[in-house]
Amino acid sequence: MYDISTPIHRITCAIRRDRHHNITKLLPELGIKSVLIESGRTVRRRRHARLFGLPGYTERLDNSPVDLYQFSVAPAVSESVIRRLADALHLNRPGRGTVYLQECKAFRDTADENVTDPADTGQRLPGLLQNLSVITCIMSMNGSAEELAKLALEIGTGVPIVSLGQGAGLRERLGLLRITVPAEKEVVRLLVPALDAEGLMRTLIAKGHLNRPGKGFIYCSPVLCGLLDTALLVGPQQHAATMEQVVAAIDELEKNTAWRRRFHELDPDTKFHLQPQHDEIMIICREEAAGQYVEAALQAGATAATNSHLQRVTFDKTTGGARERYTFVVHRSITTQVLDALRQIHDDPEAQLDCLEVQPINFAFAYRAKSQ
Amino acid sequence: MSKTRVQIPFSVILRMIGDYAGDRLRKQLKAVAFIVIYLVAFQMLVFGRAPEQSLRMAGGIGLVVLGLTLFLEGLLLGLMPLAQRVGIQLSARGGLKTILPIGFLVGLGATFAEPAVAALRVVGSDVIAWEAPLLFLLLQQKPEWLIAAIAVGVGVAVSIGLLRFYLGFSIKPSILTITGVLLPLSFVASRLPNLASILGLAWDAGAVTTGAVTVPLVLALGIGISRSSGKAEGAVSGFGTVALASAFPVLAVIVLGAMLLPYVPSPGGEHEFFAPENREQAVYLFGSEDSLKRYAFEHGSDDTRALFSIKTEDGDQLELGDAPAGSHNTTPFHAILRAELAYAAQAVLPLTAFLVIVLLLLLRERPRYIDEVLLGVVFVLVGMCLFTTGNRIGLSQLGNEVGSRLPQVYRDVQVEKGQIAIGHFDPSVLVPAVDRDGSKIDVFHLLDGESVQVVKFHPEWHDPDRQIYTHRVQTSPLTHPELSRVGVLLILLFAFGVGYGSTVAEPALSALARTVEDLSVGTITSSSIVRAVSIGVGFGLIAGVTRILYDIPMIWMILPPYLLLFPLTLVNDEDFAGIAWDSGGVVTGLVTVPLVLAMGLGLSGQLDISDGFGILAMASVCPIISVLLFGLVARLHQRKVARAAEGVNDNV
Repeated sequence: MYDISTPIHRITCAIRRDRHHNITKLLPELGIKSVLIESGRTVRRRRHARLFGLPGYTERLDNSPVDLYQFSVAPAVSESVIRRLADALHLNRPGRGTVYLQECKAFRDTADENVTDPADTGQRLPGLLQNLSVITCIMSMNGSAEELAKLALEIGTGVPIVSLGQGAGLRERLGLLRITVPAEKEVVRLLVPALDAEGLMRTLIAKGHLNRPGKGFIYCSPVLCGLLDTALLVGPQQHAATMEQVVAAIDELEKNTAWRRRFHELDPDTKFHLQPQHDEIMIICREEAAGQYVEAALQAGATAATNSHLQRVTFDKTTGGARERYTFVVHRSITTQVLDALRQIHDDPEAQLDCLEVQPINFAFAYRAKSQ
Repeated sequence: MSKTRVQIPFSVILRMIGDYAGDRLRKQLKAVAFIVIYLVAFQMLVFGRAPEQSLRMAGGIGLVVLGLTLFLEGLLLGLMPLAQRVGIQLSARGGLKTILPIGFLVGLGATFAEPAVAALRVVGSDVIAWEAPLLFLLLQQKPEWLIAAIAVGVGVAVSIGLLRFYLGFSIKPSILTITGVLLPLSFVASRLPNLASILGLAWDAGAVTTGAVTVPLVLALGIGISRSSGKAEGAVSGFGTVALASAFPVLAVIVLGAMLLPYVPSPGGEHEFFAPENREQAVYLFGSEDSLKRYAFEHGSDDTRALFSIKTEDGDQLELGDAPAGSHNTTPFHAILRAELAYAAQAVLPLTAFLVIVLLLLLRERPRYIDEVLLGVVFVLVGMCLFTTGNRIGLSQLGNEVGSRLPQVYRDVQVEKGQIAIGHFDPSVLVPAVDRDGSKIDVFHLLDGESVQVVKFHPEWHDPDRQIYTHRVQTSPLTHPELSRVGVLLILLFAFGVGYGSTVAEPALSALARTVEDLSVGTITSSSIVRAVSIGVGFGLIAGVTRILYDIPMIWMILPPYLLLFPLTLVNDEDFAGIAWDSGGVVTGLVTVPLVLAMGLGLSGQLDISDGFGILAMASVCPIISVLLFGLVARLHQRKVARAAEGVNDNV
């Protein structure tokens, strides 16, 4: 039934929580029937004057709650949807939010078909940036997302988006001893210029010590287009325009972020090798119904899974509710194998899978024990 | 999962377990450290004495830390995931017809399982029948009615709370409606003499019933339903049920009181109470003529006793344990442990079993990690048992010591604490003694529990015909002028510290705060919630102690904070409204209640006040205010940062 996969476009959008009315009103107007919402936070540097009028500034990291909206549309309409979204939410301005579009293969048709034709508003839309990548870090240690976010802010590409997840995989094989290993993961998403992605990844791995055991893993996947939030620093600044506004303005003129490229020649670091040829397999199903899928995927060769809790909000009569998302990052050679295992279970009429999507990954990196 | 288990060398296993346990213990040690250091410092600095039996006490505090660690870990590992799964499945498969009765049963069961009402009876043990007949009836004669009323209240509250998640309506109207009903009702009740006396009980009952096991269970159940129903908009939803579970029992107790009103005599003098024409109502209060007679002897004046012409034969048995002798700390350790294990089992097992049965039989699902749930239940059980044991010989003991000495700070009036009838009194036990002027008096040795007291003999209290000596227990005269200002300040300071310190260590609050941190993806940290709640409880205890010191009517303690809560709740976010109101129910748990009671009893016992109620109610309303305020500040800050990030130029 699902032998032929359909290409779809997945849109992910991070918006300040107190603006959720704006987007939940907009999406049905665009013809989107349902959306998956995940809680997250963005991290910014906040600069403020010293106490008691002392000269200089102090800085600290500041968290603000955001909601991550995820939905898929047919490729033909994707760009117009993302443009209208960006336009209505003013995402071209720093500090408003992040949106990006990725191409995936769906093995279960999840794209919304009812998207209305939006061609009329084509001209005054903000320029979407091309040539982006999204770096996803899954950090195992509690609080390590904070370090990574700080690092990302120092490198200065866009505001990092942090969400929570749970790991499954190795932990399950420890027996009851698994309770000594925290399952909680922090997932950091970072939108970066595609040309710089590899260099940035290496920097993050080296400075974030991801090349040590048990710290986490990191991968980078392509983005078709998007808008990133450049309000990295909040607080008093000394220029007519903030650096973020300047960057945003040039980004918009250039229609990409390639001009910000900094890692012109890569330092051939021999300590770690980024692994090409991976895929991210994502399943979404009703909460607590994923057990057998995860088991099947792990048996088919996937090494680990990351699980996060989502909320499906529907705009039509269908029921929403709690959903679970599992992502498996696997080498491309076993992608088919894992997919087959997942689909075999799915053929059982009892089972319910909201979606099964595969997204190519440019590079992945995880600590590998020497003995394996 | 079915993949083969990894083989791990034994030394690595040990290290993993060591790291895991060490981390948890360290956190709990930090949480308990404040209250222990505070109590010891208060003892040493203000009273100038080191705690008695310090070794036993230190051991007890060690047990407290270990117990709390296990308890909290067990909650997070076993009970909360179990309840959450039940919630998710209930909402997905059950629908209204199952959610409502199950919510009701959980609430009902929780109240019967955690007999926190026992704590209320302790507070009310000094209630005099003719001063507050209705209160006396509920506490001493018909506690089972009281428990039943509270249980029904909690049951209704939980089912309404769960219904709310299922249908997705906002917490604000539900909370504001119920408090909007409660406040005028309380006001009316406060005008009726008999009902006024149970107001304190009613509001404390609301605070107390939401115990250490109930709160996390109800919370997790609610989060499960709320997540699964998909109607809630906010991310941090699932809160608010505990708040309702604190409010409905208040209503239930007041209604029960109103129903019993016609049968009880109105409060008045002792004489009137025992007068033959009022006998019928008085007997109703005691159930039988004999009990009334007995009570008359133990608490009544000589006139009353004459009224009943009590015979000698009764005298032998009549010894009342109202005397404030610190005698129970000598119970052997293993006996305490056994008693506490039984208590813990009663609190944990029935509820957990009920949830498991619902999950297995009704929903036909299994817990995801059955071994974790089992381990969690064992942890909770052992943890609760170790904690309460350690509390009895350590923390509470320390609190009692300080609490009972507190009144020394300001009182100098002798207070009669009750009387002991000594049967077969033989004057040959009298020993001559002299006072400072050299005049001779008689004293005798009284064995009370394990300790021997030297008691002055008053010939007028001796009835040689019946061989009865009525010993009136009095507190020792104290030196300072009454209610000295420094003394009051010291007591208030002490109250704040006890409130703050015990709340920081409260496991149910810890579970709530962690849930908030997780659901908010770290934008609201658990430590900030714990701090906000603890400060609130600190101020709550100040308010409660002030009420006891100056005997302020309960209604004036309840009205102002709740009236303040209305606008605060309305302007706050939905998220924070739920969290704040829940934290009010959470705080009165394992650690707080014994310590607060120790302090409240120490105080009210020394003052001429019929009851020490109200402290717990205050300790549960003030954190709501502090968390709501914290929510407002946090939201303003977030908004400021967001606006600044968007480049709206108001200088941050």
